[in-house]
Amino acid sequence: MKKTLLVIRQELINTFSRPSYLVVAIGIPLLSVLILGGIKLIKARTGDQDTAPATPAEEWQMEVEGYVDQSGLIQIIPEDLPEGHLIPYATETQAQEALASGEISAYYIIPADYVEDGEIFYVFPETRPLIDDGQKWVMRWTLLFNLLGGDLDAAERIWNPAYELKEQVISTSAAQGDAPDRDACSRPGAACESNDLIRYIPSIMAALFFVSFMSSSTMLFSSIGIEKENRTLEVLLLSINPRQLLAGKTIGLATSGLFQTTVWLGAVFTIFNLGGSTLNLPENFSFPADIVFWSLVFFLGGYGIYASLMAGAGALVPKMKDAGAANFIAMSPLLLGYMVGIMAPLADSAEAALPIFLSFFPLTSPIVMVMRVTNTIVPLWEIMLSAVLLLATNILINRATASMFQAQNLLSGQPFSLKRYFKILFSGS
Amino acid sequence: MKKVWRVALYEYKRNVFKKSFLLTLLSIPLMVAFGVGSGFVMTSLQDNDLPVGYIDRAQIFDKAIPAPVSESEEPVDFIPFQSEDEARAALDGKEIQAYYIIPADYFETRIIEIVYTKKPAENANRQWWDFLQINLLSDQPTEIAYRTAAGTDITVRSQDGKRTIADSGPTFGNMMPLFISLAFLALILMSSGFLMGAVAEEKENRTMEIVVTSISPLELIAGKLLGVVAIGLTLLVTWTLIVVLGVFAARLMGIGWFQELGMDWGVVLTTVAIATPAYVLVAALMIAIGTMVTTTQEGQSFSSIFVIFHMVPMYIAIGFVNNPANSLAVTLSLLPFTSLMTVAMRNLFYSVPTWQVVVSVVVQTVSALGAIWLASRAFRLGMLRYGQRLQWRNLFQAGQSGE
Repeated sequence: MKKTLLVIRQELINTFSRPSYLVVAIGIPLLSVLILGGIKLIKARTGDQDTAPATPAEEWQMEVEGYVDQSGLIQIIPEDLPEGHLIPYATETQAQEALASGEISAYYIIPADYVEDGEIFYVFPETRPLIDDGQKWVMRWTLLFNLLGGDLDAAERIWNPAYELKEQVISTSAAQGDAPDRDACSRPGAACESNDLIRYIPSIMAALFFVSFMSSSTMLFSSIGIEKENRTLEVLLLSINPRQLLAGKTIGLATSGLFQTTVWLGAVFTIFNLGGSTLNLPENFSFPADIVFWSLVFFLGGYGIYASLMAGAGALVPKMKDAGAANFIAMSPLLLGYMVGIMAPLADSAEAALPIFLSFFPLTSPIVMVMRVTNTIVPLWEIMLSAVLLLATNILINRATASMFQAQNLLSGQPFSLKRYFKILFSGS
Repeated sequence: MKKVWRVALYEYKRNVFKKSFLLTLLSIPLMVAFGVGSGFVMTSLQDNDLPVGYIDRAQIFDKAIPAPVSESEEPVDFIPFQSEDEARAALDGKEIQAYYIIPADYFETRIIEIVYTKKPAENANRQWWDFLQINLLSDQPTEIAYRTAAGTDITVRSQDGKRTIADSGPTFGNMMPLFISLAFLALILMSSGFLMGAVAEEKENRTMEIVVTSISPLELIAGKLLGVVAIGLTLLVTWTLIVVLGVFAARLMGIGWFQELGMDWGVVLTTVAIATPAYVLVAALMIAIGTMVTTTQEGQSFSSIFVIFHMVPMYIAIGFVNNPANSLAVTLSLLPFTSLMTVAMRNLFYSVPTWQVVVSVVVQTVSALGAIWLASRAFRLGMLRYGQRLQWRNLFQAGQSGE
C-alpha cells in the first residue's frame, strides 16, 4: 500500500508540474473567465449594458428603411407602422444612393415573381454584419397586409392565429419523466426553455466528461509509455509489482482528471453568469445533489474503464510514436458517446432510442447517462442498472488489464498489434 | 537541389507508406462524417410524422385545404374528429400525437386548446399553424392564400451583392471559409508529429552525425519541410476529395443544406491564400522546436499551443461579431496566428476589405520566411547537442554574434 501511495504522490507531482497540464486545466478556463470578465467590465464602464428601457417608447426605435417593389404589390403601408419609416424607391440605384448617403439604414428588393417564389432581398451597407436580423418583421407584416388587400383584421388573424394556446397534458407513464413547467428552470435540462445555459448544461457535461476522460487516460498512457521507452520501468519493476504501479498511476491521474473537470465546470458556470442576461442562472436554480452524486459515480466508472484500456495499450506499445492506432482503438467508443451526448440535447432527442441504449452500454454510459441524468429525471432503476453494468465491466476490464501489466509485456519490445491486444484483453493471458 | 528532393522524398515515403498513416488520413473525415451523421439522425428523431387530430367547432376546415409543406419534409396528416371522446380514444391508442380543439367562438376570442401526452414534434407543430392559416384564407385566391400561409423568405445581401445569407441560416458555401480554416488547424494537429519528429528522431538515434557529413543544414531543413508540407497536401487533397464526394452524395439524397451551395470562390481563395503561409509558419516553428528539444515527446505539447493561438479569435469573437469592422477585428485579421480564423469568421457575415487580406497574406508570408530562417539556424546550432536543450536566447545571441 505504501508503494502505491508513493506512486500516487509521484504522479500528482509530475502532472501538476507539467506546463501543458496547467495550461489546459487552469490556464484556458482562467483565461476565458478573464477575457469575458474584461469585456463585461468594459461594457459596464462605457454604459453599454443590457438594461431594461425606462418607458415603452424607448423600447424600440424603428429604423428608416427603403424598398424597391418590382412586383407592384405594396400599395399601402400598414397604419400601425410609423409614418415615413418605409420609403419606396423606383430603382435599386436610387435605393443604393439613399443607403450610401445614410438616409436609410437598409433596403428591401421585392422581385417581380415574389408571389410565386416567396423570396425577397434585404440589403445591408458594407459595415453591417449580415447575421443581424434587422427589422425583417416590418417588411413581412407590410407584405402580408398588402397580400390581403389592406384588410387589417384578416392580416392580424393570420399574423397571430391564436392569442392563447391552452395546453392540456394527459398524464401517462410516458410523460411522467417530464418536469413540471413551473419548476423547469430550477434544475438543469431541456425542459427550461427560457435559459440557454440551463438547457445546454447536459451537452456541456458530456463535453467536459469527454475531455476529462481523454486527457486523463492519455496522460496515463503517456506516463507508462515514456517510462517504458526510457527504460525507467525496468528499474521500477525491481522494487514494485506491476499491479501496485498500475493502481498508483490510475488513482493519481484520476485525481488530476477530477480536479481538471471541477475547474472547467466552475469556469463554465462563471462564464455563463458573466455572459449576458439570457444566460444568467435564475435565483431558484440549483444543481441537484443526485446529479452531482451520479456524475461522480459515472466519472469514476468511466475513468476506470478508459484508464484501464489505455494502460493496457500503453503496456503493449514499445514506442510512443507507434501509439496512434492503440490510442484510437481504445478511445473510439468514447467518441461515439461524446457525439451522441453532445448532439442529443441540442437536437431535443435526449430520450430517443439511441441515447437510451447508449446510456446502458458500459463503454458509452459514463457520458450518455450523465447527459440524460442532467437533462431530465431518469427513473432510478435505469441509473442503477447502468451503474451496475458499468461496475461489472470495470471489474472485467481491470482484471484483463492487470494481466497485460506483467513484466513480460511491459519489458517486451514486440510491436503493438490489435490481435495481441484483444487476445490478452479477452483471454487474460 | 538534388539532395533537397532526396530528403523530401525520403521524409514523404517514410511517413506516408505506413499503415498508421491511413488512420491519420481517415480519422478527420470519419470524425466529421460521424458528427454530421449523428446530427442528421438526431434531427430526424426530432420529427414525428404521426397524424394530428382536430375538433373544429368554428367551421374553419369545412373544405379543408392541405398545408403548404416544403420539399424536404414529410407532410403530417390532420384528421378531423367530431367529439373529444373520439379524439381522446385516438390519442390513447397512439393513432395521433395530439389534437387541437377550436371553439365555436374562436373568431371572437382566438383561443385554441391542445391536448397531448407528450408535446407534439416541431414539424407537426409548424405544419399545424400553416394548415390553420391557409384554411383561414379560404376566401382568398389560391396563390395569395398559399403565399400568405407559406410566408416570405428574406435573404440578407451585402450592398455589393457578393455575400448573401438566407433566412434559414448560412449555407454550406457560406461556411466554406470556416471549414477550410478548421481543416488547416486539423492539419497542424495531425502533422505535428511529423514536424516535431522530422529532426528529433535523427538526433535521438544519432543518424544526424552521419547525415550532416554529406548535406548542408539548410538543404536538410528545406528537404524536411518540403516533405512534411507534401504530407500535409496529401492529407488536404484526400480530405477535399472525401468532402466533394460527401457533398455530391448529400445532394443526390436531397439533403436541403447542400442543395444551394452558393460558393464565393473569391472568399475561398482568400482563405487558402492566408492559410498556406500560416501553415508554413507553424510548420517551420515546429521544426525549429523539434531541433531545440532533446526528445520527440518533449516537443509534442507545443503543437496544441499553436492550435490554441489560432483558436483565440473564436474565444473573443464576441468582441467583433456585432461590429466586424472594429479595430479589434482588423488587428486580429493582420496578426500571425490569429489572422486565419478571424478573416474566416468575418467573411461569414461581412466583406473583409481587400487591403486587409493583402496585408494579412504579406504578414503571414514574411513571418513564415522568418520562421524558416529561424528553423535552419536552430538546426545548425542544435544538431549536435545531445542532452542539452537549446534555448531561444542562445538562438538570437548566436544570430547577433554572427555565428
